[in-house]
Amino acid sequence: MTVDPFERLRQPIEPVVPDPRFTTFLRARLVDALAVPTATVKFPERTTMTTTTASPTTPLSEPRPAPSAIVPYVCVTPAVDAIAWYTAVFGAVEEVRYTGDDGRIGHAELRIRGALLTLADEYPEEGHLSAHSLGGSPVLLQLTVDDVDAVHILALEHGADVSAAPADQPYGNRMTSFVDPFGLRWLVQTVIAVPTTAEIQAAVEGYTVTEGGADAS
Amino acid sequence: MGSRPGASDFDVTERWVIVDVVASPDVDPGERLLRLFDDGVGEVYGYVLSRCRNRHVAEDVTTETFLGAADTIRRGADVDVTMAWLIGIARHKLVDQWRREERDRRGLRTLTDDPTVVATTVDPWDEQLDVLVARDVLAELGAHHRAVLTLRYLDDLPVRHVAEVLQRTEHATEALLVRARLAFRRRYEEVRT
Repeated sequence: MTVDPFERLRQPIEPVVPDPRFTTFLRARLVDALAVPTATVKFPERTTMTTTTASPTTPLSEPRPAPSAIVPYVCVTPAVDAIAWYTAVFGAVEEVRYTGDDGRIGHAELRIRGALLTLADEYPEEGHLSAHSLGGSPVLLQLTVDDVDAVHILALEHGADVSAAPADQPYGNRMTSFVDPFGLRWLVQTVIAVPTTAEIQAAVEGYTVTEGGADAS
Repeated sequence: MGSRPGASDFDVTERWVIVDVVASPDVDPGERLLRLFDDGVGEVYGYVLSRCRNRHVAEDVTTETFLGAADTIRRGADVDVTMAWLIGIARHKLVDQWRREERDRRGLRTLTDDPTVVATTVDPWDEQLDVLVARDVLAELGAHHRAVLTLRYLDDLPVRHVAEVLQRTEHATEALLVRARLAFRRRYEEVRT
């Protein structure tokens, strides 16, 4: 019996993974085209592999407040512990977390008293290194709280390296400072008074206090 | 920040999607299509790529396939949203693509339904086809011949289904198939000698 030579052309379907950028783009178009009910499809501002929304008070479907023009982006390791620490000591609220397939946190956003703190684990391959790896941090993060003494105690209890107990300062703040277990330096303060520049100048020795730039006279 | 995943690839304002569809028998067709996309875009793409052998064309045809499916669903058509349905759409889109290519290069060459290829000779042809050569030959044929041979032999569709995809009668499809086989054989033997 003769076999049709054309039968040798048969080609079963073998899946081929397309370029991920193509897949991403087409998926977005597909969602638009379908106008799938938003109850099941969410449109966060951004996300990646696994994204969790930790705060029930700020669901991603609602617009989030615009960040300040400058937002600190810190490198802390392990980031998951750092998030727990800032939550316990500062009352931070986690808003977004990007967990990479390798277990590292690629990006997280914490809200602390309305301010945004963004952080990630170490990504040495991208030059993103923690204060521990760099041998210290040149940046002080200044945080204003309602009760600096309470935060000071919490920080101590959670293993911060506290260099100064809270003390009243002539510029109107009661202030403490410490290095957290992830190597970040914090200046935590409570506003206790709003003195004028003249009052501050009268109270500080060895400094000339100016307003509106050093050239102001 | 360089460590933000995807920051280098995407603008942060770009809409990005999370789907958390719980498996359920009565999910709506749109969600089912999205799920098929997530699980099986590679299947559609792989089908198209193996038949057109060009990544850009494969991406275009895959796009047309899924957007075409979405359009059908949005218009409320009663369809069974399955991979087989999607592959069926991909077949149509592929044939459309070949027709467009044919129009674009018409004038440079005329291979479509070459009237000089008259079905006077009848098979049998007991050549042991070299599949790699055969695929090259297939790609050189005109749109109609390439389409009918692809659907009939690569996809192994019965003539009745090939006729549906090509929107021809079964009889016309049989005739086209004979001419396509002759055109193929003529070109294949040229290449082999």
